[in-house]
Amino acid sequence: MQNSRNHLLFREQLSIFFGKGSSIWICTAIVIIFAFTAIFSPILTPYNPTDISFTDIMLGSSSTHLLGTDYLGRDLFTRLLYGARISLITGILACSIAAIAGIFLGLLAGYFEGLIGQVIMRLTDAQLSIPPLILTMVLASLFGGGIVGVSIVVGISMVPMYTRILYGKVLTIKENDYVLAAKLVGSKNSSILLKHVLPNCFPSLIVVFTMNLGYAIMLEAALSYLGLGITAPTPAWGSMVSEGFKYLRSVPRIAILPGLCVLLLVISVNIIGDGVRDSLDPRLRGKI
Amino acid sequence: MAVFILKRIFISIILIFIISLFAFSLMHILPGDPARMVLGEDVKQEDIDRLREKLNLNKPLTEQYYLWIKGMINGDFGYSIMYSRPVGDILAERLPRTLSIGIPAIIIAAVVGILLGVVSAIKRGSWIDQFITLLSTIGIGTPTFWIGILGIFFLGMKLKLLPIQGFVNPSENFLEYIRHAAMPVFCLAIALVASVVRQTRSNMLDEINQDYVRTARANGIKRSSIFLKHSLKNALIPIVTVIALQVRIAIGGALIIEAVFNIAGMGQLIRLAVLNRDYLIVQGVVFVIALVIVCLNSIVDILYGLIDPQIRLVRGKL
Repeated sequence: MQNSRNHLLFREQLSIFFGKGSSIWICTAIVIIFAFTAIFSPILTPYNPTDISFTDIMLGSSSTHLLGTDYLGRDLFTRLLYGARISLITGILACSIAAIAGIFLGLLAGYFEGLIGQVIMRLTDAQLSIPPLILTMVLASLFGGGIVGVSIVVGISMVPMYTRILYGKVLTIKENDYVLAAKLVGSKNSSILLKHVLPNCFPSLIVVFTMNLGYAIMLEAALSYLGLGITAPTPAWGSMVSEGFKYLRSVPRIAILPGLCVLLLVISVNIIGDGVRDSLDPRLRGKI
Repeated sequence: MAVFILKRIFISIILIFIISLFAFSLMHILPGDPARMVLGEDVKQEDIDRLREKLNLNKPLTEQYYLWIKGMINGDFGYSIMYSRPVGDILAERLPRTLSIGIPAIIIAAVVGILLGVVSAIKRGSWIDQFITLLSTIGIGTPTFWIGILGIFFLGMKLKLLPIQGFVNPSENFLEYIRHAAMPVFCLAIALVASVVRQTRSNMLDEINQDYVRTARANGIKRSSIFLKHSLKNALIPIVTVIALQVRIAIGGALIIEAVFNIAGMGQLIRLAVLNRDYLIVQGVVFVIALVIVCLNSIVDILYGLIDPQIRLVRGKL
């Protein structure tokens, strides 16, 4: 019953999503292109993003180096391609980490209100009063500068968003008759949570996930820009901007292009996120 | 009402306690012996022992926490080895610089954001609305550091209109302050404006769709006067919270802006402290910032409760 209703809705949801005009098509295309370059970057370019060549320093664009080279003779186009890989991997990994932790905490807090709920929600509030960038900066020194470390740190900073949304959802869902029925039949709490409560939270979770993806990518870029995220020589867009800053006057593209990539990817992901929200859970509008 | 305020204060105290525990534990969970980090690798054991003694690191944890809190209440945040100065003095010097970038940015964001948000909601669906929505989407998606670098490149290097680095105190030379602060403030304001616009637009739309608007319209009152006299007033209440929320975003943004424009404010302080592992500064900055945000949030919540009794019922629940 529940399933067939969802299936019918899914087509409607798709039509709402793509019916929002050309912007959603363009953004979907941009994200697909970035994902494609991220996956196939070794095939798309003959160069290695970290290979230094002192004979090719600061070359202009040519047929061999599409966008020229940077101050260490590395091919800029190659580094941008690999940068997409880093941004997308850290973004998705961070959101997954945040989702798993946030789902767990939100389910616990919402289902067993009482003391556990109070403790979890107060901790969440406390975390929210520390600006995310400061929290990630401080924790970054704990987890190191690799992709996994940065993903964990960025993920931790986004946990409260999931916890809060899940908490609210669970509070309403658990008042439903089918939860009561499951309890009367003697289902265990864990099975009620996983079989009945969690699946009903999925639409909101998908919305939060897509809407947070752009935020995670942005946070990683900012962290890498500040020298506390993914560090050189790994081609993260944020650290590329800060490295290129020194040569802004002579070769501005080294600093400006990676930032442009962050902007394009984040805006596209955000617009897709808005579309997903409007088609799956419009009530979340204005909340996240 | 008194019960509501007391509860709100009680919650704040709990939050401050949790945050103080977190800030305090930073020194102990972050890698490395703080004393060794400060002094470097090639130091005699005696020196390290002396510093550990000075930082109270040899006492039991509970006593360390007690001494730390006691010190903070007396305005003593400890002593930074990196700067060879008391942390409190450094904070007192850095905070005004960050504020003189952050406060103008938040004011601009509030004024411009609310204005654009209201126009966008009233003219819903028109080209103005679409244009403003597009701008706010771009504003939210633009990395602050990138806008800063673009500004430095075009306004600073190409057109040579504005200085590209540094900061001048407003009390020293107000004109120079404006010249130096213009770009940082503008860059910081962009992301803030974008998010205020979005929130204002969605609040205002909720208000416009209320029944009382239709009733008033049926009574022959002009649309513009309904919107300005009634809807705007109601829509502005939640926006107060939005602006309080901007403070949190502005602090993060200020951190980046200070790095881009080389301004020695709180952001640069904590960035260098994390990089150099000067934990006393990290502790102090994290705690002070979180304290400001918690206090601000509770003030806003209490004001909110005063204006709107319904909220007292919902949020008064612990």
